Amino acid sequence: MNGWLLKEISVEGFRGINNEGAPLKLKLKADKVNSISAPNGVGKTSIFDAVLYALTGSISKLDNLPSAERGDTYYLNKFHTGNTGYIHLTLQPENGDAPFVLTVQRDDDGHRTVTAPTGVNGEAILSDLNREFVFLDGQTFRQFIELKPLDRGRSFAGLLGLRPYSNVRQGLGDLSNTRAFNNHFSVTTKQQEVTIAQTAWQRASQNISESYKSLVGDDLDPELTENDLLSNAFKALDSIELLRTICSGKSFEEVDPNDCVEAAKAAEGGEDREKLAKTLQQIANWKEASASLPKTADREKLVTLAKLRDQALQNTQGEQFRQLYELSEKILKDDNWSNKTVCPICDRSDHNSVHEHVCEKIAAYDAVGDAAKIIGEFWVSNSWGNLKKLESLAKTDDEKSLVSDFENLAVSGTLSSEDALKIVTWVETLSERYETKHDALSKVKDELEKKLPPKLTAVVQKVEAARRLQSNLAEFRKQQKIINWRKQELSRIGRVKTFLNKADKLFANAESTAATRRLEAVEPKCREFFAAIMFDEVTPALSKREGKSDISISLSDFWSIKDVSAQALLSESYRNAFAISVYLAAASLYGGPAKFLILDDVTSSFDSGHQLHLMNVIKDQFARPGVGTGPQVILLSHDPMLEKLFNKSSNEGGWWHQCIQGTPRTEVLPQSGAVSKIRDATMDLLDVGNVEYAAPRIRQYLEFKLEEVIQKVQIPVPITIAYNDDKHMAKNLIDAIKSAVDLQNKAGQLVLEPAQITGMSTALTTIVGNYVSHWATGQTQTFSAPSLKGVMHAIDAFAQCFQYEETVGSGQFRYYKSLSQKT
Amino acid sequence: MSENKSTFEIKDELSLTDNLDGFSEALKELDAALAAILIPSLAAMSDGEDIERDNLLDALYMETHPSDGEAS
Repeated sequence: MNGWLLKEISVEGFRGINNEGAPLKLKLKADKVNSISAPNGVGKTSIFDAVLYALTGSISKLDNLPSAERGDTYYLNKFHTGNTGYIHLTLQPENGDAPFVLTVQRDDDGHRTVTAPTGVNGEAILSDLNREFVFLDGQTFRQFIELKPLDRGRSFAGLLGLRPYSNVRQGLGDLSNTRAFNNHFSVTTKQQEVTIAQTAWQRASQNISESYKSLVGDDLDPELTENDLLSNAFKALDSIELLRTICSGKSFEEVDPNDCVEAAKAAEGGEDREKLAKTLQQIANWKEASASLPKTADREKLVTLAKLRDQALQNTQGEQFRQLYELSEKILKDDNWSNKTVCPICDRSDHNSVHEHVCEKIAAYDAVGDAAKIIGEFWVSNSWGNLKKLESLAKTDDEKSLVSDFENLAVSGTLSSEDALKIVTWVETLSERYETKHDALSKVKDELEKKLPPKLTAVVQKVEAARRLQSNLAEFRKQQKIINWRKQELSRIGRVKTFLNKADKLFANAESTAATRRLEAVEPKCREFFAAIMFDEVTPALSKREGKSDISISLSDFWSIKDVSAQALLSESYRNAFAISVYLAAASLYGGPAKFLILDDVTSSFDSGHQLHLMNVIKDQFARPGVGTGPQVILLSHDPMLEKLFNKSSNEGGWWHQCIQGTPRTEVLPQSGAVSKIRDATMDLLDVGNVEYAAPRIRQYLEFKLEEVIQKVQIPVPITIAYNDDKHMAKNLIDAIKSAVDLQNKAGQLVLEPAQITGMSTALTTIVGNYVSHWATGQTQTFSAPSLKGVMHAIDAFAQCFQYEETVGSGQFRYYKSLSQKT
Repeated sequence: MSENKSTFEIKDELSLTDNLDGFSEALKELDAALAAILIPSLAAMSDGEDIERDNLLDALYMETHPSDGEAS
C-alpha cells in the first residue's frame, strides 16, 4: 500500500481565504515537522477546512448549522468574485514516484469536482486519505473523552484502521436485520397465508371424512389412498340402480350430482324430492359455515388483544413522528454524526444521548407493531376470516358485512378495541341466526323425509354426500397446493436469512477480535506518549468487552489509586493529553495510506511546559524525521509562545516553520516570498482604479515590507507590538524603525548613506501622509488610485533605503546586516 | 446448505482485499450459491457505498431456486 505525503497546499476562494488570482500556496516539507502560525482570524483554520473538504467533501461544523443559517453558503469565500473555491493538494508518493496535483473545486451550487492527472484516480486517493486521525483539533479530543462507550467504539473502528471492516459489518447487519428482512419478503403475510390454508385444508379434510361416511357407509381409513377413496365413492353411487346410467363411463368426480337429483326427481316425480335435496344442501352449507364460529374465550381474547394494542399506541405520536425517529436514528447511528448528544433535528445538545432517546421512541412504535402482529396472527390462526361464509348466509341485504369490512384491519393487526367489540357482537348475532336457521331447516327436512319414500330419500342423501365429497376434495387439493407453494417460498427465504445471519455473525466476531487485538497494541503506545507529555503518575487505560463494539476509557493508576474514571478525574489538559496520545498511538500503528496529520490548535489547554513536552513527543517519538517512517505532521497554531518554540526548532533542522498574514477580504499569504505577489496584485487593481480592493492590500504590503526591514536589519521591536490591532500595526512598525535609526544615527554608527536617510524621510512622508494616517482613522474615502500608486512606490523606496548594491551597476541589492553593519 | 462450521479472522498482515477474499471463502463454505451473489458487494460495502439492498436480497432469493433448495 502506497503512502501519501503533502508537498503543497494551495487555496483560493475558499472559507476565509480570498486570494483572488493569487492562491495561498503553502509549501510543506515531507521530511520535516511543519508548523504554520498566524494570529487569530487570518485563515489558519481555513487551511484546515480546505484540506478537510478536499478529502471528505464536507465540513460538518457548517453542515450542522441550523438550516436558517445556510451553512452551505459559507464554504466559499464571501469576497471572491469567481463563485468557485479551489483547493490544490500536491501529493508526494512515499515510494519516491513523482508528485502530482489533485484539484478539488466547489462551486456556489455546492458541487464538488475532483481533477487528477491522467491515469490517477483522484477520488479514490482522497477517499483513502480520509482517515480519522488526519484532522485533529480540540473538538475531536473532547468528543473522544465525552462519548459513550458504544459511540466511542464505533468511531474508534476507523482509528484502528478497521473502518472498511466496520462498513462491511454494518452492511451485513443491515441485510440480516430481521425486521427489515421480513418486511422485504412479506414473511408475516406469507406465514399467515399458510396458516389460513392449513385451516381450510383441515376443514376440507374433516368434511371429506364426514361426506365419505354418509356416501359409503364406512369410516374413512386414514391409510386409504386417494384412488381407493375415489373408487369406493364411485362404487357407492354406481351401486344405486337409479344412478347407474348416469355413472356409466365416468369417474366419481365426473358424475354431476345435479343429474343424479334430476334422475331421482324423474323416478318419483314431485317437488318434494327437489325440495329435500335443496334443504339437505342448505343444511350442509350452514353447518360448514358455522364451523368457523370462534369460541367464547377466543372472542374475549380478540377484544383484549385489541385493547393492548390501543394502550401501546397511546405511547406513540403518529406515523410522521415514526418516520422522523427512524431517520434520526439512521443519522445518529452513522459514524459521521460523531456527537450522539446533539439532536440532528434541532442541533441542540445536552449531556444525554439523543441516540438512546430516539431508540426508546422507536421501541414504543415496535411495541405497537408487536401487538399488531399478535392480533394478525390470532385472527388468521383462529380462522376468523372464514366467518365471511356464515356472514354471507346469515346477514340481511341491508346489513353491513362487518367481517369482510374489518378483515384487512384485523389481518394487519390495526384493529381497535372498539372495532373488535363490534365484530364480537356481530359474531354472537351470527351464531344465534345459525342456530335458528339450522333448527328450521332440520324441521323442513324431517317433514319432507316423512312424506317421501324412505328409499329415494336415502338416494338423495347419498347424492348430496357425493356433492360435498367432490367439492371438499377440490378444496383439499387447492389448499394443499397453496401450503406447498408458500412453504417452499418460506423455506427459500429462510435459507437466505440463515446465510445472512451466519455471514453477519462470522464477520462481526472477526472484526471484534481484530479491534480487541489492535486496541491492546495501541494501549502501551498511548501510555508511552501520555507519560512523555504529562510526566505524572497517571496511567490511561483502554478496554473493550469481548464481542462488543464499545470501548471504555479509564485510569489504571491515578496517583496510586487503581482503576478509576478518567472522565471524572481528569482536567481538560489531561483529557486532551489522553486523547492526543490515543490518536497518535493509533496513527503510528495503523496509519494506512494517509501519512500526514494536520493538528489545529491542539495545545490551547496546555501550559507552556506541556506544550513543549507534546512538541518533543511529536518531534522525537512520532513524526518524521525523528521517526523515519512516521507520519508527516502539520501543526497550525496561533499561540505566540508556541511560535517561539517553532522558530527555535526551525533553526535546529528537521522543522519547517511558516507564518501567514492577511485577511479574508484580501489575501492570506505566507510571509516568505509573498511580497512580490501582493505587490503585483495591488498594482493591477490600482491600474484599473479599484481603490476599494487595493487599499487593504496596501496595508498588507506595507506591513510585509516593514516586517522584512525589521527582520533583515535586526531592528528591536517592543514585545507588545503584536498585540496592537491591524489599524495601528504599520504605524507601530514605522515608529520602531524610526527610533532604531535615530538611535544608531545619534551613536554615530548608522550604516545608511545620507541620501538613504533623506530618502527614508521622504518615503515615510508619502506613506504616512497619503495612507497610514487615513487608514488608521478609517478615513479611506480620500484615497485615489494615483496617490495610492505613489504610496506603493514610496514603500519600495523606503525598503531600498536599507539596502546596498552588491556590485555597483549590477542592480542586485542586499539588505544591510544591521543598522550599524553593512555586511 | 453446508453444515461445515465456517471460520474467518481478520489478519493484520493481509490487505483489505486479501482479508475480504478470506471472508469470501468462508461464505462459500456457508452456502456457495448464495455466496456467489453476496461476494461482489463486499468491496462496495467496505468503501461505505450504499448497496442496493432490495435488489441484493431479491438476487439472493432468486438464487435459491427450488431445484437446489431444501424444500420439496
